[in-house]
Amino acid sequence: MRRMLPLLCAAALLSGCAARSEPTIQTFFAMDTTMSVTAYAEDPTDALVAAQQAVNRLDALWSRTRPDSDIARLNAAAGTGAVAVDGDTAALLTTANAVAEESGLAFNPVLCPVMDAWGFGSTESETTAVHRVPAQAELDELLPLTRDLPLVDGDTAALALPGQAVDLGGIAKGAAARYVVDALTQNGVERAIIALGGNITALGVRPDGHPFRVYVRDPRGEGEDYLCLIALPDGRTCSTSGGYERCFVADGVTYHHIIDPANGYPAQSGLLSVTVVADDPALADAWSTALFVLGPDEALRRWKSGQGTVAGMDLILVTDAGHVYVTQGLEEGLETLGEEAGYTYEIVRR
Amino acid sequence: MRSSAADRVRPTPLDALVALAVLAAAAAILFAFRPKSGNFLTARIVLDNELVAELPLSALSETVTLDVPGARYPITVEAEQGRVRVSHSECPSQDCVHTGWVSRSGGQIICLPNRLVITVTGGGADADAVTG
Repeated sequence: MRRMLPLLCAAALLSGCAARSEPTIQTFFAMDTTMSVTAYAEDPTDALVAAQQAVNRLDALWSRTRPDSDIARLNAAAGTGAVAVDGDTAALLTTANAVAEESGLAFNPVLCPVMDAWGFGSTESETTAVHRVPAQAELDELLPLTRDLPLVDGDTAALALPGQAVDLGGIAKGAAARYVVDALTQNGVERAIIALGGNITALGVRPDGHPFRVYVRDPRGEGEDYLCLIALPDGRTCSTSGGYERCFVADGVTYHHIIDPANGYPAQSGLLSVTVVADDPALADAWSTALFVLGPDEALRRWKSGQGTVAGMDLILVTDAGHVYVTQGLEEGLETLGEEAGYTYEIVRR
Repeated sequence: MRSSAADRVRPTPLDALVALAVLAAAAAILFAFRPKSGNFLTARIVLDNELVAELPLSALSETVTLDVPGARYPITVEAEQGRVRVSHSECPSQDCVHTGWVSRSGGQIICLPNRLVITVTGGGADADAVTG
């Protein structure tokens, strides 16, 4: 007993520390969306400021609407030659090209002209955006501009054809997470949950020692309707793409914003939403869009094959029939919440 | 030379007293640093990167309405015990109004045109974030 007493006292004191787990939350707007960093640390002020500055710097490089950004300059020079870009921009363009090639252009960073035709161009103008269904002739003219990926050579980038344009909106927020994690850890924060517009990254674990937990939104619901709750282990990121996020109705038909680059129309792949959990946040972001376009059969085929990037990820695929495929890596810590809303769940193994 | 304490093998009443004192101190520290929010739900309203209000949802006994000052499009937040919503907004998208009531920890209401975010925290935290 005498030996145990110091242990007990230490445990009691430690639990006192653990109880002091009020997080500090930093919420801000960048990259046309809302972002928040929830840090568990004694005084994370410097870390949170550094994190926000890191995102602002990337936003200034990667925004399509800021005229002096790398991407705006690249687009303005389309068809005329290469422009010098920041090393971080060149790296992201290279990653975006790699996903585009591996996904057969299902993820397409040069889809801009077609997105603009639908009024899904950039979120900044979403409030004033005029959505419309483009005529087939118009799409036929624009689609050839979406086939050639940007050419990256060292710290320069170029677009081959006049009228081409890059939009990194489908990968930039995920990519930013890595910089946020660096900013936090370099300033002493070891535990945080980072939400960059629906891309959630876990740094460390919760103060109670358990992994962070994330709700996955019900793609058919609203407000507080959730499909499930998943555990997000240290260093992993989850990203979700769903047609419900942005859409409009014309002549009784709902058109959503995830355009299939193959035909220029909203993807009709049989999916309502795709959630990807991966180690690389940029890949999680980009592949959630790519798999939404590719559809459930192709997504599962790639995952089951054990080959390629998708095989190293975990997936939640929600079909338009309400069937939810969850790959085996997410089984632990999974809490299904959509049975009453009519969803059925299936753990997929390989 | 060996100390007399090392010769003793049995705890004395003084040992017990010291142990009790340490335990009491630990309990006091535990109490002093108990989570402020505990099981209380709080709604934080952030407008354009600035915290404009924190509403103690669990402690509300009647409905509270707040016209968020400084919003580009007039927006009204309504809170009552355990939940919060945007009851009215003149923003073009109306996504914030359509979100409806939020009562779970980790839940969010977002009005992008206003650059406004309402985050619900505390309450034993079902989740730390929402994806989708």
